[in-house]
Amino acid sequence: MHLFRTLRWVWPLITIALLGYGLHVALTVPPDADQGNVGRIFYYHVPTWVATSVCFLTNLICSVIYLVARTRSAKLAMRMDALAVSSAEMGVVFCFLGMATGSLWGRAVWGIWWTWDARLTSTLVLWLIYISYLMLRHFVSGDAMRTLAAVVAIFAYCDVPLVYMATRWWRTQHPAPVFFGGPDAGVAPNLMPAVRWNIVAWLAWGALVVAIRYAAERRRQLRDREVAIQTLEAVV
Amino acid sequence: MILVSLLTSIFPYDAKIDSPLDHQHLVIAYCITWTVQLGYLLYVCRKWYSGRPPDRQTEESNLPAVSSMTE
Repeated sequence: MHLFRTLRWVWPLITIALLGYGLHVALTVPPDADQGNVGRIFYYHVPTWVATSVCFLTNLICSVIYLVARTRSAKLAMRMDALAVSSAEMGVVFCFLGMATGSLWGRAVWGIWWTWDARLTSTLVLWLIYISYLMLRHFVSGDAMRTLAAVVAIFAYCDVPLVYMATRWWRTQHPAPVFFGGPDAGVAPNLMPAVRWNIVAWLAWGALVVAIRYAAERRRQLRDREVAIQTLEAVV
Repeated sequence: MILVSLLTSIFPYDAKIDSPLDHQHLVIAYCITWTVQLGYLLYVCRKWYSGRPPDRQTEESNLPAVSSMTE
């Protein structure tokens, strides 16, 4: 418990330091030989996709645990539900930023803002599916909504491997994946430290914001529960 | 205007390898990332703050689970 209290104050400081250093490295490393300084967009573009993947994976895991635990442990199920919505929201933000930074880079290097190739289209579909997930949660309430949302989250995650494999399965405008993408994939070794630092920094940022969102969602759940109890007491 | 010129001066620009459009897009990409992330942080913090309980004595352990109430 003491560790969590300490972490509550130390984590934001670590995150700010990491983001500051990540920004410093991103702006001071030598420019890419082929692309020039516009290649620095990659130092933010790649980390946003790594963070998106982590957020949506967290959402999937929490949704599965919710479905398993909802009839056994209400407390665990509610915690997992809160974490699922928190990570989905953060994932949607990262996903939007990944598309926005990619589009800005594409306009500068390819000369186009957008192309309907398999990678970009499946990514847009992924973003829209998670927007639908959040809309479902916003407009409906109750235990049935949570169960339905958890099922939707499992279906939504099916698009994530599709997005990743799109550059291998189809001919796309988008370059090969940076990680596990084969011999021709990845960032030049001299640029890798900037990418790595920013991945760590934005993951730390994601964890911090998800933690705050989780706390807010737990407060809302507890308040709703309290209102439900008061309503029942008034009826009885 | 001063802020824009200050921002653009932070980002490296080499006229030999970069076009003005490249530089503009680099600045926008970094600015949009920070703006959206800080905006979302603000939204989350407001949500957390507005949801604070009126009575902090309320403990979760004292309350029965919703599912057990509805059954």
